[in-house]
Amino acid sequence: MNAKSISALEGMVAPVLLVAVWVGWTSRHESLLCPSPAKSVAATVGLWRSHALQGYLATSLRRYALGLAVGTSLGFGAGSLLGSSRILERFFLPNLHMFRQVPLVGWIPLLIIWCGQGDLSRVVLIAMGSFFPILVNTHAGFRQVPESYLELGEVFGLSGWEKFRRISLPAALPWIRTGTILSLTFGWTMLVASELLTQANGGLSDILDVGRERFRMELVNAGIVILGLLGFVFNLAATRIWSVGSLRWRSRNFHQSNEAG
Amino acid sequence: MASAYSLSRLEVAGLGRIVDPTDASDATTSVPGQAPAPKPTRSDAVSALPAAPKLSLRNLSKVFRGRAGELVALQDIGLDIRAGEFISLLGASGCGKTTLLRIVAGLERDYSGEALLDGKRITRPGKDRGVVFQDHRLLPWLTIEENVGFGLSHISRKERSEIVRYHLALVGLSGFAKSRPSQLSGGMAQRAAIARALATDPEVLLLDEPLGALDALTRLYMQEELERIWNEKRGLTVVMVTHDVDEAIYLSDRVVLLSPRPGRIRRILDISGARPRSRDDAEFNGIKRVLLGEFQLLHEKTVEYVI
Repeated sequence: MNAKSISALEGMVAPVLLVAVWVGWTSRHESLLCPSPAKSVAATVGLWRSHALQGYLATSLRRYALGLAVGTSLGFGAGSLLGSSRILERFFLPNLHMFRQVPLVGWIPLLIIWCGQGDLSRVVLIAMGSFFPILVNTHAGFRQVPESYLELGEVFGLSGWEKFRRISLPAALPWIRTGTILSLTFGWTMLVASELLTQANGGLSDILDVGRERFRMELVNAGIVILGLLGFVFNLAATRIWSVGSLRWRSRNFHQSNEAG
Repeated sequence: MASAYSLSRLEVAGLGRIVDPTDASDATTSVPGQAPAPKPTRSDAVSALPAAPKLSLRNLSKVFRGRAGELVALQDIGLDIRAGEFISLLGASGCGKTTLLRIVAGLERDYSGEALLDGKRITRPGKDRGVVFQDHRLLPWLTIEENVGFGLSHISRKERSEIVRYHLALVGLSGFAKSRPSQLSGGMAQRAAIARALATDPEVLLLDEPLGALDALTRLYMQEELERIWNEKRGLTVVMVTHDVDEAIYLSDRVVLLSPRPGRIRRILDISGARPRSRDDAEFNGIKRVLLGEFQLLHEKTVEYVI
């Protein structure tokens, strides 16, 4: 067994203990407020059998995918522009940082007035959530491209676009990778926040809403675990996809060979 | 130390030729049987030269303007370099030798005077000039063969891989085509950088302290490698910036000694000895003594200024 799988096992200790304590506690003191995990599992299976869970999943994932697509592509584009142009950076970066200081959920009333209570508001909110992390990281990534690499591009007579494609972009890729993974997380948070605004919207948060209204804590617990697991899976998938895609870049070696001189 | 200076000058008189661009009478003395080198002139006289020089610098000056004021990096540089020549620009740090190289490379555009390549003013980098920097600047996300082929994106894949293979063999890195820069030692990385600069088939190779970051033993070995590569690429003109006196003497046809603040040509030394040069014979040491003597004079001069 290699070191990686051992450390993965070590990471499992705390959750397993938590579930064990939960099971132990509820086997003696089960109450409405704190039902046993078994009831949550049963409730989840019930949701699946009645095809309700699949419906919730499809709706939420559609919103999430749309919001992410819009937010990350705009964020990447804006980050690339700001990272490549000193003038644009001076004009717009301070404003963007100011904009970013408004907690995202603070926009919700305004969004509802402008975009209504439907999916448009939700998608916009998810897009806003995923916009900033990738913007900030992409910008930082392009900023740190060593001047010496760009000079190399000049020596070989590369055009501005070629320098971007062949030097800046690959050099910024480790930062862009971090940005996308953070955007994924923020977008997921914003999905839940936007869904909790309106009841019976057809998304995953309906599990929480229904559970709360009917005082079925096992549904609330199940909803929380499902949201957490999905977020975890997205994060893991993104990390895996990136590590396959960026094998060429070896982001881990990037700084070392940079400094080796 | 004025006496040491004149003594070493005497010793070298029969071995090499000393050209002092600031002293017209000195420049006219030449060893019999040797073609007179094109003498750097203040006025334009291209037609009067025996053969058009590959690279020609005339009244070249470069001033950096900053908030703290002006810094004259180069003042009134006059130098003609023949095709196929190996020239070293030797000097202590701050003498403008790297600035001079960057002007020839086309990376510094804001200069006064003239820098001509084949008679044409240098205004930007071009594929007729290859550059090797002190840091190898291999791109860490590319393999060695991709790095070497970096300047060849406009030709077919097949042609490119042939050229890359040839140049990897030339610098002795055939077995490392698929390696990453981070897996190479300093000397190997610098060889890959040389291969990359040569792959575009430049007429002039510009080396900016290419061996400066290497350990002493690797350095000696790489000097021999550089000479071998220069021999194989017949007709290649090389301009190398260095602060290593031995390296300059070992590799160069002429050593251009620069003095700092402002950067000026202090002396141009012809080195006529047969190649490969021995590092410990009388000629080598004689020339070395002259160059070190010049450095010492510079040092004394600076001290006088300070006091």
